[in-house]
Amino acid sequence: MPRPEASGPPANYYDATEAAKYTSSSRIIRVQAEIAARCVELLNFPAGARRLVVDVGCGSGLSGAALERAGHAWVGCDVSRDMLRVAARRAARDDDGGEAEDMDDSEEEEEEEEEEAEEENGSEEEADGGAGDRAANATAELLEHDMGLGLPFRDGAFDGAVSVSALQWLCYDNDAASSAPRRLNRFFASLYRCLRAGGRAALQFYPENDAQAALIAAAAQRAGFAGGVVVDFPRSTKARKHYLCLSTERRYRAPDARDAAGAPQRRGGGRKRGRDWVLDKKAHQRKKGGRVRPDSKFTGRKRKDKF
Amino acid sequence: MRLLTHNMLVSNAKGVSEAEGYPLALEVTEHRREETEFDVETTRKTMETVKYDALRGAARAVAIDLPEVYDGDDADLLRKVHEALCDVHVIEGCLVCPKSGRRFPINNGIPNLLLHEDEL
Repeated sequence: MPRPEASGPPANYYDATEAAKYTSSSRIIRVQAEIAARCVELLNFPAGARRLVVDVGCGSGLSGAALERAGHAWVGCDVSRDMLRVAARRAARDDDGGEAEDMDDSEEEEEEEEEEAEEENGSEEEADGGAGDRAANATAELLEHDMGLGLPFRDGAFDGAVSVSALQWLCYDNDAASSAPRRLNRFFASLYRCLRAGGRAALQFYPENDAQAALIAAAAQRAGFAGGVVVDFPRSTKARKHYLCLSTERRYRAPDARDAAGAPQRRGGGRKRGRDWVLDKKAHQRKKGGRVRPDSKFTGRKRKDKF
Repeated sequence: MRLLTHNMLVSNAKGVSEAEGYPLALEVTEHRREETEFDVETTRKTMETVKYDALRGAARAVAIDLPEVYDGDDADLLRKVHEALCDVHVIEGCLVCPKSGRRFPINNGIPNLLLHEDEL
């Protein structure tokens, strides 16, 4: 399958049909949620404090949900109107879901508020279903913008930035006027500006090849960021994920990558083929009723080179 | 869009430096209020990152009058500030760049800050 990035600008690719997948496909939702949670982990903010984070390429707001769980407020920007529409609807629906969960402790209150809301504006039932969980919803803010044009935020507006599967879109020339290096430079320069001193960014992306990952990392460095690319599960084609971990702090070092747990199982369970392995195999054959030579001190021993 | 977000936004149209492109003028045709929980400490903390003058200008557009000088110890003022920052949602309207006059429409609560490549 060709990469969607090659097909044209992201605003064209993420149309209504594509956006719908982000609510209907449980696989997409699961993968996105996992990546977003990992991004929040990589930001590595000290616990307790509530941070303001910008989500670049927020799409349908799946990554924002992870930020909310971690207790951060976020502002999302995306170039696709259709995806943003899905995000706005999700925020409204999450309200209802959250309400159902805390029904038991504040049931009466919620019902009252619901009635009020219905009286006030009966037409907007979906958006205004309940007032109980509005505070949670109010942490999400959406913006229609193209990251390649530079982020439209003032200096030091945010504590952090996350991005899920978006950066690679910067690496393609969609028309003559906007070349990839220009878009990359504009994006990282504006990101550097809008992060507070000591601000951090964890940006996951899908590079087409290693050269592209290096290109993105170099653009970040040029803008003044410290840090680098963290590759989780580098040995697995499927689970491998690239995270660009950046900070405005000079001393910053990118955190360690995840591995092992996601590494593919080698043949033979990754165990050295020594004496134990031979004994196990022999025992197994014996159990199956095969003809097996008795074990001796020579079992599993290597022959001398000269035979 | 809440006014807290408006406080962060800056115009990056061609030939507009950040000092000139901030704050964006706010024109409101429709807004909605949703009361959220008020907490003095949280609001005071939020105000550390908010530019008060810009907030004051934006609040006027949704008919909230804030005094000229911000005082972090005034609980009544903080309540008002919280109302302006968090409770008001601009649904339909427009953001206007103070230097170039470029208009950014707000539809369904989502501001559109897209620029054409030749506007950069």
